[in-house]
Amino acid sequence: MKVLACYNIKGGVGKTTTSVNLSYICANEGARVLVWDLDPQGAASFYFRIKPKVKGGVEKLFDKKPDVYDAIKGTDYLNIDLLPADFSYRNMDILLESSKKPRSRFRTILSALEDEYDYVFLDCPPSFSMVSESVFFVSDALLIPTIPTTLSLRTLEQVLKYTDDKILKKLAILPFFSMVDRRKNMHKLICERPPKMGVKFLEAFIPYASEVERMGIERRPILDYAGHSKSAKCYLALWQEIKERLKL
Amino acid sequence: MNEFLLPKSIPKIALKENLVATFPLEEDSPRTIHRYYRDTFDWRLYKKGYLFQVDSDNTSYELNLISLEGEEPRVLTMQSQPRYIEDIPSKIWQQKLHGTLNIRALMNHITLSLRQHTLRYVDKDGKTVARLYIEEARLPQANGRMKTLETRVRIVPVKGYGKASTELSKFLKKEYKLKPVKQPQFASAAQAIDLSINSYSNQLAHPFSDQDRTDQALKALLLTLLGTIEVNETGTVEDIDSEFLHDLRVSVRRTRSALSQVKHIFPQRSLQRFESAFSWIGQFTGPTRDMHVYLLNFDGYQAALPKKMQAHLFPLKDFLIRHQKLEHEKLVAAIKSHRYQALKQSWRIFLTSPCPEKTSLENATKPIKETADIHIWQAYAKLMKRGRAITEACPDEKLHKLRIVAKKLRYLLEFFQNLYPQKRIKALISELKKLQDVLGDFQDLSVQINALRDFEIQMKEEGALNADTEAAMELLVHQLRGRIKAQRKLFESRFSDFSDASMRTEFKMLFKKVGLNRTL
Ligand SMILES: Nc1ncnc2c1ncn2[C@@H]1O[C@H](COP(=O)(O)OP(=O)(O)OP(=O)(O)O)[C@@H](O)[C@H]1O
Ligand SMILES: [Mg+2]
Repeated sequence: MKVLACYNIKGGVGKTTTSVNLSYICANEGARVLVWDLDPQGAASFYFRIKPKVKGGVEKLFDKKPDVYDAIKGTDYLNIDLLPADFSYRNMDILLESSKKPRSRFRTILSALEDEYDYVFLDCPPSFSMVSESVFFVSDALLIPTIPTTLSLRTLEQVLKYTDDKILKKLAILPFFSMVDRRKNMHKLICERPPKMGVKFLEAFIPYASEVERMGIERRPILDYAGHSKSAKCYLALWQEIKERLKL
Repeated sequence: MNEFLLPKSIPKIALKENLVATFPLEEDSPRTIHRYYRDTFDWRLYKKGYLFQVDSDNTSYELNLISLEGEEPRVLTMQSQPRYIEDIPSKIWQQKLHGTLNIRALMNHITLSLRQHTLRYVDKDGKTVARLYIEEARLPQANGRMKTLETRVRIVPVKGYGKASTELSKFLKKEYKLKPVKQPQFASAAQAIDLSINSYSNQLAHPFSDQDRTDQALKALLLTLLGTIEVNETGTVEDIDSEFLHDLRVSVRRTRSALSQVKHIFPQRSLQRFESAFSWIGQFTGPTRDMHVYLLNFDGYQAALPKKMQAHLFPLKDFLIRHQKLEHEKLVAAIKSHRYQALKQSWRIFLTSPCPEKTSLENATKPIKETADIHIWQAYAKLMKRGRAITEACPDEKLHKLRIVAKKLRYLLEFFQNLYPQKRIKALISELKKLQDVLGDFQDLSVQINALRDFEIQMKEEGALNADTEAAMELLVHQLRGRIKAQRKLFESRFSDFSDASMRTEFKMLFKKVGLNRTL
């Protein structure tokens, strides 16, 4: 089971959009995929038309022997399931703080699903917290959508600082540009010459496009309603490159 | 199972209308698809309690692994029809099937043409929470006519939304008095075409008992071997997977072994002809089998090389695939040849013709048990003698010869195992097998080294060998050499296990005749 987290400290950069579309592409290739909507706001759940509700809330998931599979919902796509968001997830941090082994919580939850899924996509809330730290520990890779602006690059530096930890040696850090507007000079400049920060940006990037925005109305992955669009192709290219980088 | 038979008295249009009027259902346009029930030739999945059902409209393939023992079904969609385990993109599925399918291919045992009507139960967010299918299935019978199966209504819940599917099935039960059907569609289809879920196994059947005449018993045994050969011909010709040819060859080898070991039972003249004929079959099937073996080994070869060199080995794979095809063509021609067919025919005539009541052949009329005792004991004695003669200094050739002696004993034990207490003979076979494994591996490795060398020469001639590939193959040969040494060391300990006192006593007690007093 490979765990891929869509993460950024910054909000509104395309994390959820990436989780939903990549999970769809990955599932289309014939893999069993789970999306875990970690954001109490429940955007990923919304896109899959699933109520952001987990019976018993986060406490139930944090049981010693959690019955996680029970909380999972099937989406409209046979290969994709969703572990929905829940309002109680906003307490996740506090629960993790007070937990004796905060780092093993997520591991326990995911290992219960080891025989069910080839890939787990974690759609993370925008913050740095115990939750994100837990995410770093269970993930194989962080996919970091980054808007090509100087400010965004600074938050990316912060992420890199947090994840620069010996214990996280195996965690691959894969930033890529998101919501790219080629008409904007700064976007163009930064994309063409990404700053040297000790990590390599993926070549593939996601342009700013109205058909991506439309996802909020369609409530489906782009590839399901605009499979031939430019953005769809960009997501496909992004997935290909991620697979190459992770040797999947 | 959430499945119902729809009686003819309930028209499907009316049923659909009633359902749509009662529940928030959306109808997809009806479609014609194929439903394949796939399994290996020897029904490995079925024997483990699974049906492997694939629904396809020729663009996507919906795999259903249906448990006959109540496990939750697994579903996966993919873009092509999987044949081998590796064709399934999901590692989870691969793991699940590994150990059952192994290297066998999936093949269609039943193909249904399906007219499928789909109603989706949609909640207020527009999400599908259950699916109801009305399915009319037809399948071709032996006489070429299409047989129509009873129409089924199938309700499939979406995980986490059990309520909707429960509502639907309650409705069918209450409004239409439908009862859930117990028999899966597969079973009805199998019945309709008299499909026998074959009990194929390459294990030997034992069609005789203690007091039977040796010649009759042997003919019966050889006849079942002929059956196994024939059963595997189609799969070999179609090259469905490598196991068909393998099993065919095993039966040929067993046949040859029986003919060569047990003397003075059949007239020598007819025997010679068949011996050379079976040797011919062994020969013409050999090259294809070799290519199969090297292709099966390929991943292991590659994994044993350092990461950087692994890609360099691919030209070898191309070479193997190319030559496997060429060899296979020759093999098919031979199987279809008049010579082969005529051979089988006369062999069958020989085996099915009654044995003469009186005969001058000294062993023909002996009870089979007596023949078995003597031959097993002799083969065992020979193995012990040759085995003890193996020293660290003796040439590899001696070990190769010993392997053949051990194999002969193995065949004899297997041929005649039903004449002895099952548990005890099985224990002996399993000990012998351990010894054979080292000998087999040892032999295998040197054969592989020679073959890789030959491949290098051939590839060079074909212009398919570059310097990188050559280096990779040389490294492989070097690695195999190292393993040979280790195997030889292992032999000593295995042989001493095999020849310990309790084993010797056991062989004596089971097979030794009083009067035949050779000490071991
Ligand atoms: N490439 C794009 N082009 C146009 N709009 C986009 C693009 N990517 C995302 N959006 C829109 O931007 C908004 C934020 O995207 P998204 O929800 O994926 O970001 P996020 O990082 O998950 O946000 P949050 O931090 O709130 O979880 C959404 O309305 C989305 O439709
Ligand atoms: Mg989000």
